[in-house]
Amino acid sequence: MNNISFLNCTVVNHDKIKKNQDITIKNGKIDRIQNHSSNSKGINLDGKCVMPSLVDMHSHLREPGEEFKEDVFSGSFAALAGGFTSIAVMPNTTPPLDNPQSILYIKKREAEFKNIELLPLGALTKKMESIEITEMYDMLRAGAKGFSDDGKGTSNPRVFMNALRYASRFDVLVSVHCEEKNLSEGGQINESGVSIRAGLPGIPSIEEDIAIYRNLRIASYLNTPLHIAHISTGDSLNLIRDFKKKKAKATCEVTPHHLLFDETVHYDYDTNYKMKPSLKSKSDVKALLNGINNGDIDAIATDHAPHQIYEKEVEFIYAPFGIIGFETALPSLYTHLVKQNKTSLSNLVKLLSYNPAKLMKIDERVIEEGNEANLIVFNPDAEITVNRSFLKSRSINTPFISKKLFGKVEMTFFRGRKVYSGE
Amino acid sequence: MNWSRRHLLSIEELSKDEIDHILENAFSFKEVLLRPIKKVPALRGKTVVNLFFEPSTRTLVSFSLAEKHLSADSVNVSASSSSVKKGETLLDTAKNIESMKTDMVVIRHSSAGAAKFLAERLESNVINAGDGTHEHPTQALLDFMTIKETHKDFRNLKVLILGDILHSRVARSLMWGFMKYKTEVTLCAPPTLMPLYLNDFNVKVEHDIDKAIKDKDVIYILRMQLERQEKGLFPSLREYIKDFSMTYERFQTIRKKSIIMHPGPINRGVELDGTVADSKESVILEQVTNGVAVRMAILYLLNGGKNNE
Repeated sequence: MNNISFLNCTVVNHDKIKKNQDITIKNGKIDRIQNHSSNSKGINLDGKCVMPSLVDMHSHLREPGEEFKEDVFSGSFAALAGGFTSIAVMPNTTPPLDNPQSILYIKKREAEFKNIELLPLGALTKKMESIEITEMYDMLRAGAKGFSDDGKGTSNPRVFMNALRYASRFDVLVSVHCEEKNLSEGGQINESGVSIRAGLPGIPSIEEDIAIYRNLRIASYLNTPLHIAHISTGDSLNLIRDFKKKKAKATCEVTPHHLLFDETVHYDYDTNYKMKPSLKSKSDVKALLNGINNGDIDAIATDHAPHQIYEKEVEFIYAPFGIIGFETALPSLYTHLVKQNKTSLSNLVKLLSYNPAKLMKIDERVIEEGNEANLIVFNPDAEITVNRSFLKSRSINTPFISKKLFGKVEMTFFRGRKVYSGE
Repeated sequence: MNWSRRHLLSIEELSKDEIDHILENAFSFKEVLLRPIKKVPALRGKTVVNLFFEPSTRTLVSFSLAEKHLSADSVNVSASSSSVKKGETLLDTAKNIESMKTDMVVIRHSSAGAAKFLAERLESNVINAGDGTHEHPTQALLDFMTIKETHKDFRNLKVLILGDILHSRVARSLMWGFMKYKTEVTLCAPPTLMPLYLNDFNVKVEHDIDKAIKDKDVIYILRMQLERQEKGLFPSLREYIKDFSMTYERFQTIRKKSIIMHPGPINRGVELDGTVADSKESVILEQVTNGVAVRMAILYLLNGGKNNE
């Protein structure tokens, strides 16, 4: 296997940043890291950042079933363009990933694509109907990396308790979408002065923390770990913090969009802001931002949810929920948080790479000798324009469309091989 | 004043001066309506499409007549007869119609923001004839015109809006308009039909109808929809009528010079007693007449305020 050397890099890890480093990659591993020497040969990065490649705990590749929105190839390419080399794929496809064969199918597609690690999450219940639990043992043997009934949640608490209990012996991630459907049903955006003024049916924000409480209470009763997907409110965060204090094995994630936008965008009825969970108030955004800085939030996940333009460019109430996120996650967080001194680049590495890798139980994401060479070259000063040619996803449903952002993923390396070049 | 707007999407976006300007024009057009020959050439050669994605009789007829009185050529497209059911998007439908060289589009739709959606994407002037539970600006304008006929000064006016405020686009348009005139507005409804967040609106809330109807100059009653009961928002029509209907008994306790308004269609005996609807205090049919005049004024102004002669 070819060797490659980067000279004069800024190495950004979750806990520290080191400037003027030379890195050599050999046989798929990070072979050597040393202080920059003018005698070394290799690619001079002139101070650009080298950091661990990103890990997404939450994405939708739409295959099988809705390949017109995205498939494993287009989605994986988009992920690499965003710096992600390991992505958890949610089971709410058509049909859902609720059996070993469907997991094998995803692993087959991964092998065909070659350049990415897919971490399929199998459904917790068959057809995600919250009636019978799935063949979890066999799905894990087929390559599943965890379980979730994402998008639906597991509505029946008895079934959820059984599923969680059954899964407990495997020591894998169980991620849960927390939404009390009886409260959210029929709603379009967060219920508040904004929904009243915009005339859009509101979703009371308490639907989220009510569902979180139920699910964490079950997990703490069973003393099993549980990961809470895409939280969107300060109340949810407070609740999770309380459970953590009581030694519950709770973790949680937040999406970039819940950190960057609040509900006031809805006065324009732009369906690229229509998602679940809905965007919340300015104070919720502030609380979440606090949460990523003080460690209460464990990960940032994109919830990459592709929909075609013709599905989104319709009347607000008819548009599907969800936006894409792979390609814009790092640049948007860098532009709006790091450059505004609201968080550090190291913290982004922690939340987008180091922590999620631990939660998914994959290779350690630290730029360190001996680790797998899963890394990216990131140029924080380069400006990008988010448009059709920049986006590799089959769908372009993002609120960043036509906008400029700072921070460009110039190269993505997966197990020592260059799998994406953004130059 | 100089009229510069190309679209009429909401009352919220209008200034008080703009509302006054529309009303002044509407009063002039009302004179046209009282003539034996009710036609002026203001929109001669212009084509207007009335795109109605929700059933409507009165608003559609009102717009159609306003267009005809101004000599415009108009076409009505209703959801059931259009290609929408064949899976075409609203945008494609609108663009196709516009490709037939139309000048103005009147849209009624069940989604909030639908009129704005078209206004941002079409060349035509767009008029919002009701979008979801967002706004119904022409209704509010005809209501203001009707109130002006009996009460010139909106500032010292006490208005009650009674009924399903939460789901009412009419209530929202009225509230925005009255706020611009600094009118005192009270809302009365069961808590389940009242918005939980009214921070943006300067209004009073009174859940007791007998207190609410006292000392009001204008009592505006909204239509009650039966589907709200199915959704568990009120227990029964029987209780609603007892608790929130403008009954004949309640009508006898209101202020002498009060007027009774309703956007139609009335559920007689539900939100409003039939005798009250037909009383001399009721200006409900006057509202309907003024609707044509207001819509003529809006079409005229959006077309540039000129006669096409």
